[in-house]
Amino acid sequence: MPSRFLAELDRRVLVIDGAMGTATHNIDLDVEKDYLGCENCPEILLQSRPEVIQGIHESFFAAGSDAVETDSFGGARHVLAEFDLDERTFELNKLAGEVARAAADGHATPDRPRFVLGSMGPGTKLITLGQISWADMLASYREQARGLIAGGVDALLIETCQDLLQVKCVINACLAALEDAGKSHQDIPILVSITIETTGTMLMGTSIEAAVAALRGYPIASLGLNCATGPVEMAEHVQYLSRHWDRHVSVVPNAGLPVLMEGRTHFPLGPEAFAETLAKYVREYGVGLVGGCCGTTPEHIERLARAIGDTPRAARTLEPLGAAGTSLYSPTEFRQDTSFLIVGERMNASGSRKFKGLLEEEDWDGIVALARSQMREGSHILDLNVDYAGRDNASDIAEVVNRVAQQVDAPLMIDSTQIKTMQAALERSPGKCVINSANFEDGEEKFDAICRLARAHGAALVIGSIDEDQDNAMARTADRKLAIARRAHERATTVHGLDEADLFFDPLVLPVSTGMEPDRRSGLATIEGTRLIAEHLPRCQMTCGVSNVSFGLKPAARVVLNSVFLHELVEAGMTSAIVHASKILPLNRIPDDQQRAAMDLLYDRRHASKGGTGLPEGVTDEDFDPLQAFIALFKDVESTASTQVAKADLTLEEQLRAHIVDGDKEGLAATLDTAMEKYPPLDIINDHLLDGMKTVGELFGSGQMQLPFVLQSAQVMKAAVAHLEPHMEKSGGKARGSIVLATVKGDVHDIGKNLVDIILSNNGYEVHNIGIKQPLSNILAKWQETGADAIGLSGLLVKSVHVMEDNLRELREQGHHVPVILGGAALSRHYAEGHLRSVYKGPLYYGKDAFEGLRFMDMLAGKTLGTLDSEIVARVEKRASAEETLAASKARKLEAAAAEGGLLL
Amino acid sequence: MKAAPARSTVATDVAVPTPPFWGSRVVEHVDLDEIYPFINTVALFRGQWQFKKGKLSDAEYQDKLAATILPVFERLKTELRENEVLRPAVVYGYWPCASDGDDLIVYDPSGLGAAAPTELRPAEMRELLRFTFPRQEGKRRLCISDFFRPVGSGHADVFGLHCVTMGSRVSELAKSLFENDDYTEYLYTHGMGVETAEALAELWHKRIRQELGIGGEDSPRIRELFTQHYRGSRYSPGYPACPEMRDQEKIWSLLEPGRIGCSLTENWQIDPEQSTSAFVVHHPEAKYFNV
Repeated sequence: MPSRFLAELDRRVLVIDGAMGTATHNIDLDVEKDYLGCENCPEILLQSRPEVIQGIHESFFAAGSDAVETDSFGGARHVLAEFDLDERTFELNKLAGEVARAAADGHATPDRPRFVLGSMGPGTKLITLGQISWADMLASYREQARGLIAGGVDALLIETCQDLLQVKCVINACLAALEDAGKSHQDIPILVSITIETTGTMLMGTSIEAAVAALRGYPIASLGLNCATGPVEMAEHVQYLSRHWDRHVSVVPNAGLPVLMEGRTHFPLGPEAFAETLAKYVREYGVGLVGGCCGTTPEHIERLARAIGDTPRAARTLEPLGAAGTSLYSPTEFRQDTSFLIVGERMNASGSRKFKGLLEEEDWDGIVALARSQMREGSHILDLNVDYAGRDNASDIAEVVNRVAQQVDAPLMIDSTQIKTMQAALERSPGKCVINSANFEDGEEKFDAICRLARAHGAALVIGSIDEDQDNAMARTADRKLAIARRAHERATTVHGLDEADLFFDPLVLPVSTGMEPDRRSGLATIEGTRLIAEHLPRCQMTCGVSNVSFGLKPAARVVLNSVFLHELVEAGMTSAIVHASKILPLNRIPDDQQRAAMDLLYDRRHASKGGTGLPEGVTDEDFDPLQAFIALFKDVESTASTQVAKADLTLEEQLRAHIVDGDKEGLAATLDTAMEKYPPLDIINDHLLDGMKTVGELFGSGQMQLPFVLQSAQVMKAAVAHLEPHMEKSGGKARGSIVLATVKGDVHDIGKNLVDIILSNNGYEVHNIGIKQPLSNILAKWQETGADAIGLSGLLVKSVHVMEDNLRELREQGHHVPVILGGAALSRHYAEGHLRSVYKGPLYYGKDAFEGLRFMDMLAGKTLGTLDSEIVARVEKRASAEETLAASKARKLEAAAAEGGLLL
Repeated sequence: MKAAPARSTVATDVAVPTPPFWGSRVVEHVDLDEIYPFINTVALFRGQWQFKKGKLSDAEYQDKLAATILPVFERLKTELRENEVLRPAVVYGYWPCASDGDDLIVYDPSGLGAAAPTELRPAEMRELLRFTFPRQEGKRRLCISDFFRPVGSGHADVFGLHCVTMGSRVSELAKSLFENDDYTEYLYTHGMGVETAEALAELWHKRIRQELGIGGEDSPRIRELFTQHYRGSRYSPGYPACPEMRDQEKIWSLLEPGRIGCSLTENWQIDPEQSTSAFVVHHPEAKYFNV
């Protein structure tokens, strides 16, 4: 029987009830008599006090609700088990349906039906965190759903969802329960409502965009929001759903943001404001289902029903979304605008020795690090293949998926030939995955099983061009690649209802590097096959394990051949590729001769008499073999892909510098020990390490190095000096100069001053950092005690600028001439170099950052402060003349205006 | 020459919202996960951590951020929460008030129950203290006091105060990192302290707007809140519109931030360092301005 609820929802906006919990809390109930000892289990009231629950339902119907939610929020078997009620799961849920049904039927009239929504809450265990297994959760909710269906509910409402994996599991449980009852989701629709926290994501971190992308493939009638916040905070998410969710949208907020005050949770939003905002969402965003969550009362619902009564529902304009995979956190579209979808290939037990090693050692953190590094290199999604004889692949993949899914923001491509392994991975994947892959090698039965898996887990699917053919299962020609793709497309979309945009066709490439006749055109057939499939199935995706084409060649040759091959594939219509992202070069970085040689190889440009497609331009030798030519080209070439030179290849002096510039502590002690065999420690510091710091300063100055990495370098410098110090003669460690540093009186901010300290002390200067809130007397005492060459004053506050000015005046009056440098957020260069210079009689400078401070110290030590002085004079003069010009032009304008009589003076 | 008018043209007939209570309240528990989204990452990455854009294109800069800084940011958020380094607390409240020229008169909030400001007559209330705010000499002749009903208008207005803190642990940690030559971590930790304190101020300002029922004009995008895409404004002592740091003493007498461990230094700065206080003004014309 088609759903009356859905028919009504298509016709008009429906109002759901308010909070059940708030209502039961307001009734005086006895823990023993009413809750039968099960405190905090509202479901038990269905047995002990059904009239109370029915009364609450009635109060909401009387207030104007079109639908109420059953008292079964915590009615899943594993939740009831906490009260030893698990054996009564079916019974209590059936009762929940019946009690609400009775209330609904009492209020229904022929032209105004009233509905019962079977409430299914999130439960007490987070499946993404592994607190419960997929199978247990599925069975638990399936039993709940069966009870609710038997109790006569009009729809199943999966609500307050915090965890995407739980949503996927419960949808499957509902579908199974419907099937058990001989019904379908068209008879009793499934509604999903997720909870977006004040952080802007679901509890587990999922964005609304990811939720929409991951749930789109499921047969659910609506998607919406409930709980966590009031209506106002939901605005941007409601707007997103309105634009991008192609079915009904529901909004069921709390009565405002809960405030914890004096130990009690309080919901501040009144009925009027609550109803107004929801009416606005109906009017502006076309929301179809509204109601109240925590803290909402029959008064809220009454105002809401009244407001909705005269509010027309906006027609929604949907902006279609491209097909996408998702991580736990965010979606990644399968079509990349300006590029192709990069599938990171390195987590493959048969393709990567490193990954295999990590797996053998069960170094899960190492695997997560590998996943992260692939994302840094530019991968969009990550392929994961643990198939490896002698290990329990299903348990391995479950472990890896569980960790990677939580720690890396990347959709996963589950790569296996075994259904059991795929299933183990999917049951741990909160996001929308891609399954890699299905084909017809073992007939349609296995193909169908994998399609069903994709459907159940809302996954996309890679389909390889292989069929049952006894002699040549893997398609070698473009035509056969297309034929298999069309057959798979037909079966996956019509029999299994998969969205064609979620299908990836892999035309499968064999190595062209074997020199054997059948392999010569492997690359070319894949390029042509790609072109054909892209033409005939334009909405589908395509992918390819590109590096297989170059199997067996030298690494440098592989980088070139893979890159050129990928370029040709993308031109032909390939939309993604499974690659090692950092080992793909743009064509402009591959020398012309190498590019040409790769093209000759891929297009089999041998002489026609040898079976080739014809010799390349300019070649006359009939025996020309593009494979040999290509290999010959790389005889002496090392890999071009690696841009980072290994430290071992550097000279000792270069290594010392590199430690500093790269901020690299690894192996530092060993390098220093080696260096001490050749140089005295002081020379190592002065000639090599400080030279590295100089480069760091230059890189910082030109914007090529960021402050956190500068500090990293300084840290290595500090460690290096600490390592060398014990080996230095006492007199050897003489500083290049010294300074007293202080934050001025009344100012507690020390970060700026400390940064100056770090840079100066790690560039060979002695720094007396005396801290914050320093009166001038302390600063002077320290200066006199140490005989330092200069004083540095710092401060963040506007007021600190005045303190600096007072300090300078005092220094002048005491007759000091010590060089002073000033710095701080509120101090401008102009004020310091203009006005303050006139206040003080000694040398005075401004440091915009720590490196200007260093330059000052370098010049002070080198007795070249004159350069700095003339720079300042030039700057001040330039500014004065600019101001003069400006003033003159202003004066001219005033005169002109006065001449016209336009200005009353 | 005509004498400039004494007062700005700021509207005096804006409807006055009703606060949920009068006087102050302490909130000891705020979830860090609620605060983190309010961190101004531009201020954190570019300002505190000085991760500069330079000549990089937007896309290149974003890529660099994603590769280098975002992982650090994520790590710190987790570490600072799990090690309980950041310990947020808030004290805030609402006072009846009225303007008198450049002065803002604050009245005794005790015993007012749930009265609306419009039911309160300044003449019948006890004056607690006055803030005197400076007035622009030119331009619109703005003064913070102009955003409140004048004392002669017949009824009172309302203003909010809050003081938020991240506690002293974060400063202690930063200090020990510096002393142990862990420079990069020092920079990161210090920056997180400064910007989470700002984020908490932003979050609590939003909460106050919600409580006053003027939150409807908030931008749904958190980053736009950093540029005052909401009704009203908040001003901290030392800001251009209220440069007088001594006002902190008056704020202290009203708000009693000692209850969340905050005290004033001799220079009216807040100890612990990662704390901030502010006046919250509901008037729609109230935005930042210079005097």
